Amino acid sequence: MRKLLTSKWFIILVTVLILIVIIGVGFIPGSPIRQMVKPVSGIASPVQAFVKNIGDMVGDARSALFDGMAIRKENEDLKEQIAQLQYALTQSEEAAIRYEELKEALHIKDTFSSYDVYGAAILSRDADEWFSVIRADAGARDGVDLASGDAYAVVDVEMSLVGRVIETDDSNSKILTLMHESFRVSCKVNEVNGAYVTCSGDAGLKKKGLCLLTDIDPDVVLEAGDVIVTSGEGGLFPEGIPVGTVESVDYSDPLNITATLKPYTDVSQLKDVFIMIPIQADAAVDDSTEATSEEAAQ
Amino acid sequence: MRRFPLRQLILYTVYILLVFCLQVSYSTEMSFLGQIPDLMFVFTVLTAYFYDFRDGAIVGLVLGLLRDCFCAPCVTGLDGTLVVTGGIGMLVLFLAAAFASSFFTGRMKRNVPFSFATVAVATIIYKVAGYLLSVLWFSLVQHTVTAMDLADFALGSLLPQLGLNLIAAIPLVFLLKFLGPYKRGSAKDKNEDKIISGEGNWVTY
Repeated sequence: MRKLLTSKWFIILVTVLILIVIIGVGFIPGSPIRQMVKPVSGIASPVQAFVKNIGDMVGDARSALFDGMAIRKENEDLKEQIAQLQYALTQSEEAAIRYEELKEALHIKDTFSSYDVYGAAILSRDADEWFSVIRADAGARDGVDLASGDAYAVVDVEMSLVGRVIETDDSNSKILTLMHESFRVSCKVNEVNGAYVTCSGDAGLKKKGLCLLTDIDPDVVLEAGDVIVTSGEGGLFPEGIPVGTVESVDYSDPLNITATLKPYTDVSQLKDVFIMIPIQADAAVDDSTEATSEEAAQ
Repeated sequence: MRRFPLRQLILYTVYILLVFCLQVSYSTEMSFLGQIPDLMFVFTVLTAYFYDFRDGAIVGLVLGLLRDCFCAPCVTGLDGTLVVTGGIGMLVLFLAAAFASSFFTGRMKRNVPFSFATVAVATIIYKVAGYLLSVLWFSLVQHTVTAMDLADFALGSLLPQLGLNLIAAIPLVFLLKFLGPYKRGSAKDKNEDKIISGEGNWVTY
């Protein structure tokens, strides 16, 4: 018996069975497995952040040493650009005042006015093509608390779609990027009455930095260069977030027209992201009530 | 009385944290042709190959746990919802350790050139198994095959990953053999513990 218990193959079998049970339990919604491993993340995160900071500092120091000439040239170009932009800004100020007047008069809403936007830095990236969820440093403590069945859109600094938050804990969020095979979002061509398509990740296209467009209506003429934005269908993502441009269209099978999409965001170069959290309807009502009562008081 | 394995504990902890931090923090900088050298996987395989199943299994389970915490795979469940899984990293790295500790025996065990062969074979098995499972899972859940076709997989995924893992194995072999958890010339280092304990026994050496 002792020989059996200390046998390598017996230990392998038992451990594999235990791990399979853990994986199975992990699939159950609200499973305690994720809660149990949270302390591990809490211990390892500071170490990982420390190593990452050292790497960033080394990178910055190297840039400071070797990029001096390039920075000086860039600085001069930027000064020129600032002068031009200053002029454009002066021109735009008057237009902005007019827009505000019209916005109030016509009840125009800002594109993402019903969303709170939280900034977060990327903490860790994918380990390989299957272990590919990335982590950002915004969690429940910062107001990013994902309820079961919800999904928050994640955008980059230029408001282009990066992916969605799939899980949060106290201090971190896990993000599924739009290149992942399991990612799907309803999109449309960014024009009046633009055609609806589905954008999803694809294992083969991921290596080329592309996504797949499917569910294309045979009557729709999709062309390379067409701009694709989120459609807002399904309610998970707000409408109008830029996703990318059509790279090529395959009409060879009329019943299954597909296209490739070049996303605007480069996931591998991301350093900071923004998480868009819909403002709850009741909170929005409260805000508007407060605003109305303040106006009345004045 | 057996001495407390302080050297092993410290060095394994340092190497595990180093490998894990590099993997999840600098994957972009290390990537080539869309693939990332899998330092965690290679380190587990080499530990099991050089220092046997017990060390490899513990390293594999710890690295797998960190992998599951920080960059877990996301899978579409049978009901269509997306689930961030837990435990797959531990299972993969534990099996890698089990394989590597049993792959070569006798004179070919703990031999530096053969360690690269072990890394190569383990990588091929991992990639092929992962590819087949993803094809199977997608066809079961989404009723479509979104995985790459076989040629794309072989040329665009398997070969670059194999090359990168073999390159990553060079510094890791150096670390484990020359700055490793066991002193040079110790029974564990010279493959003499096998003779003492016999094949198949795990806890005694």
